[in-house]
Amino acid sequence: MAVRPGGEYAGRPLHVIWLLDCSGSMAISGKIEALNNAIREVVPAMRKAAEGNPEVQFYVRVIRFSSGATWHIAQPTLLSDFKWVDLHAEGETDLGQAFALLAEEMSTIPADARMLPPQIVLISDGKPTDDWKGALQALLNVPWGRRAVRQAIAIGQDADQETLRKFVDNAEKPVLRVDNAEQLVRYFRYVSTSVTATAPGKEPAAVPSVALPAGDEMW
Amino acid sequence: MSWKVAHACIRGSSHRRSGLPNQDAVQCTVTPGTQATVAVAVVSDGHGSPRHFRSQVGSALAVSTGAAILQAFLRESVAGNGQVPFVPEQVHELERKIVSGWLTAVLSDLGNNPFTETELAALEKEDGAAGRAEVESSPELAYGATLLAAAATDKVVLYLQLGDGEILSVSAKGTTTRPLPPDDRLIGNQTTSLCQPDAWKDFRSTWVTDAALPSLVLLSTDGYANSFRSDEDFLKIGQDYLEIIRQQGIDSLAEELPAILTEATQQGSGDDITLAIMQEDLASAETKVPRPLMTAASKSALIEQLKARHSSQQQKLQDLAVRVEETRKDNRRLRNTLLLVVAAAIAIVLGVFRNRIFPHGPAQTPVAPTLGTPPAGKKPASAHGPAHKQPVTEWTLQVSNNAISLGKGSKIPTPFIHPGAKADKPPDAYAKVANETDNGPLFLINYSKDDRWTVSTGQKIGYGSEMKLGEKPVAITFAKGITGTLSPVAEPTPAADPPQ
Repeated sequence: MAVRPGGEYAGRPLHVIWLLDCSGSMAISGKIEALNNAIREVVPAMRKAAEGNPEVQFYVRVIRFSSGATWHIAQPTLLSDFKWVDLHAEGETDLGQAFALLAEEMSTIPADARMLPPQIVLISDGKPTDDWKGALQALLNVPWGRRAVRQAIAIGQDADQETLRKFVDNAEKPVLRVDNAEQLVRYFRYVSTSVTATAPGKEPAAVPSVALPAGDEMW
Repeated sequence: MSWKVAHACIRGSSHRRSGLPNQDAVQCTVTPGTQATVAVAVVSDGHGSPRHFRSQVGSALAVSTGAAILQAFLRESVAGNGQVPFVPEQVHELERKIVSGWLTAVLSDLGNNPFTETELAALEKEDGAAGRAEVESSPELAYGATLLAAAATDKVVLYLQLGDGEILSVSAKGTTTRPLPPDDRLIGNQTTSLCQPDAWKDFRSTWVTDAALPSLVLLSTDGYANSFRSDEDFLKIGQDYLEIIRQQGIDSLAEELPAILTEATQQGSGDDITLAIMQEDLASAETKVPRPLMTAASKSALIEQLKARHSSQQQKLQDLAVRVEETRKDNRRLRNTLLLVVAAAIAIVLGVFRNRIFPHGPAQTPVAPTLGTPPAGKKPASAHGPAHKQPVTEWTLQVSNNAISLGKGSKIPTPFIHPGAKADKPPDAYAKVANETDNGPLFLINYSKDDRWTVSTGQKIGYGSEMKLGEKPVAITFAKGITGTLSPVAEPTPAADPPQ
């Protein structure tokens, strides 16, 4: 090519952010181990799906919430560089603090048309123990928080599906309930690969015609 | 002044993989008229989501409808008023007309090609029953597309935009700006659209006139800007395209555009990319763009204009040339007369010496004093001096320990006068010697965007400007720390006039 007007080319960034419940109840019945294992399976599946979408640069980072909320992986990390460090479960379910932390981060991202809508996946097994409503509203008031594709997985029968539904705020994206480790892997993988496999310019496909796998109701 | 256009529209690399068609469309027209040439460039981006499953038709209808309406609008404006042609209400009316024209075209297409069950079933599979119902009740959704347009005469450029994408305006100096204000709603793959209710309210529009007219207008769908790492990287295209067009001409660039845009989608957004370029046509430009920037195509036309503009000077030069020739003839006659007088004087002296009877014979009438007197009716001698002198046609530039010989068409290679330039990197000439008219005086022209020269006479030479090459040596500071001396090369003494 003789000429190439303009500066450097680059794929469009897509940020994936996981909000993971690490409250004490997650330590019961092997839930936190199941979550750690699921992530170890999901990441390679995301990488593979992303191969079909080479124009997008996928970045992942993670917030853990229990008593308070912190960044477990603070730096937006390219899928290819992503390494998982196991989570441990203890304490409360301060989901509101997780929303607040995320809203604060989202508000610093400029309204850059190059960026594809971020994907936020919330996984929880209980009821929030702090004031989450105001924090969720703050998140939805930030442009990128509102534009984000928000999805939720409820672990077990004690998860507060109503809260998760308010977070998703989209009738076309139901909260996915999982009752055992196998279902967690399957749904988490589905949610994560659907975003990495989807070409930009096309809205992500509607969720899911994934049949619930037969399995025991462990949680 | 008029406009030239070029465009390309390529299918995105992700569309290629997923089997989606190219959903962009473009139409550029330049139509000459008795009062003014009207140029229109329209691009459109059909939405990619499943419910906009006929957006490649929607974008095609957007550009054809938009171009036709804009052409008619400008033509009416030109006919009705020679000055700044618009008031905001007129433009809003125009926007409504474009949206309703598009809707009419969409409904006509739908009448000829009703939705098939295959199309609707595919939509239902992707978007659910609600998505299908929505499109069935508002079928224009299936055709959803954006619209970006620039429409221009020699006096005005009108910009219109509905939805995402970029319109850039590039000045003669390469300064690249967005003529329209940003729209905060356009983030994360969201856009306003022709298919929305009251779509005309979402148009952004403005216009510029006369002195503010750009050298270049670039219209692109969002797939292009999204292919760059940053906004800065994208905006650089303004200056780069201007440079390329100045070097190789817009027609040559047009051939390369598909390859340029294909590389962009592959290494960038993966989306369809359309680019339309409107260029101020230099062939009919006055003096707004400096001479060295002329394209090959426009060169001869420009020379004709310049000739006409300078016809009075040319007439004077011709008069002068006639006088020079006459003076030369006079001089030859005078010289011959002088020779005859001298010969006569010698003969007289010899005669005196031969005849010693008159050793102090009367001095012969000294004819010499009459020699300096010009023949009656001729021009004063003072006019003869310069006429004898040949104009200088060669100079030497002494710079950085190099002596560069300069004549008509010579170039000064970049490394000699521009700091940091490498010998093997284009452009190889940052300055050139050229003339305005065939036999006119020669100028040294500054091609370097980055440098402003200072001449020892105090003259400043910016990019695209020139200095007349004269008969006296001057010093030129080309850039910081780089000063050269430009001296005329003395012509060899003209050969003696041929004998009469």
